[in-house]
Amino acid sequence: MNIVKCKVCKQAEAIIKLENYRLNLCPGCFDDFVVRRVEKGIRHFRMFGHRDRVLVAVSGGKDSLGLWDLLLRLGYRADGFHIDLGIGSYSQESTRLCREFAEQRKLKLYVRSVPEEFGLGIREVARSVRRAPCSICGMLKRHLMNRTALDQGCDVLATGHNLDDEATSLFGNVLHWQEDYLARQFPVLPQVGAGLKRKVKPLIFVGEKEMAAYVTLKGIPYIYEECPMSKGAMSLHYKEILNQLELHSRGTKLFFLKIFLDEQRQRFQKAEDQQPALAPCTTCGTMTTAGLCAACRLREKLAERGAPGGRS
Amino acid sequence: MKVRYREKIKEYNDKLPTLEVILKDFGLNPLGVLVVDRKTGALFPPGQPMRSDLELELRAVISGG
Repeated sequence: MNIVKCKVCKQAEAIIKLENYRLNLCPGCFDDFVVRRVEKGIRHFRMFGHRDRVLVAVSGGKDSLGLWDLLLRLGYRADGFHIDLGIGSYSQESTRLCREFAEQRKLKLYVRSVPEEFGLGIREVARSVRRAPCSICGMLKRHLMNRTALDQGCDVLATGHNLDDEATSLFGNVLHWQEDYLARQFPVLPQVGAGLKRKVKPLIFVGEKEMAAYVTLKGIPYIYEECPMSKGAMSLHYKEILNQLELHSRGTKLFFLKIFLDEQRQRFQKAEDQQPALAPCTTCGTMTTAGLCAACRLREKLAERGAPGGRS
Repeated sequence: MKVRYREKIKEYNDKLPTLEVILKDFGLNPLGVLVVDRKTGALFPPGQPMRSDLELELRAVISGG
């Protein structure tokens, strides 16, 4: 049998080949590799310290549950936050996996439910206001995450966006020259006033395949199924294109993202400076560029259409 | 695809291909999949030849993000 040895310790059998780093690693060295990449991201971008209370947004997927596990291993104070989106069995399974992860480790998990708060699932909310489900979902996630961090006195919000997610987002923003999005694309978004918590992406230097391998090796159950709402999403096509490039030219994704963050992002600062100033929402206090934040506007629209989750 | 598959099987019989070779032959990007041994839940090691007694699962790793 052909046994491939670990390229780092040169003793144990390799269990994973990291194509983009030309590395074959054994379980122990792979674990060290992932932990070091997360530490590097947190320190490089000064995301948070050991005194900060971190709220990790968990979906039940590999990235967010893996991130929660990694932050705890690195000694950070991290609670979890999950949103039940009301997408049938997909959401039920996601919520179950998050609860199971928290219960087994005796961790604090805050759960908010879109059907409970808006009377409808994401799909139905989007249909009621004639918007794309992913757009409504993203907006509500940002709103509820921030609201929970404020209510629970957390210092920082952490999401499981990985290197592939960020390179893909950058790719899409460059293709469409979304200058305002490019200006805001950074693994740390600072706190704004008392109403908008700091947001961080500690997996910025960890690839998608590495995270899938990490949770598999750690035996963390996660939802393999893709969100049914994301079928046909352009981001999935962009990811495949970037993976094709990466296969032919190793390190492309990391180089693309790193050069943008270190050197090119400042070019778009003008677009950020031209953004309207943020002020507290007149209803809920969340920071917004309009008088009423997007979530409160959504409640009003639902009320106009007679939907159950609307503000009366 | 079926013809190509048959041809490949014939070739494979002589040289027991590794999973990397099979993924490449079938146009699957190794960056987008994780190969897990269904019986043990372990990752299938790189460079090992396929065996008929193995039950492997190709798990897509790309998600909407």
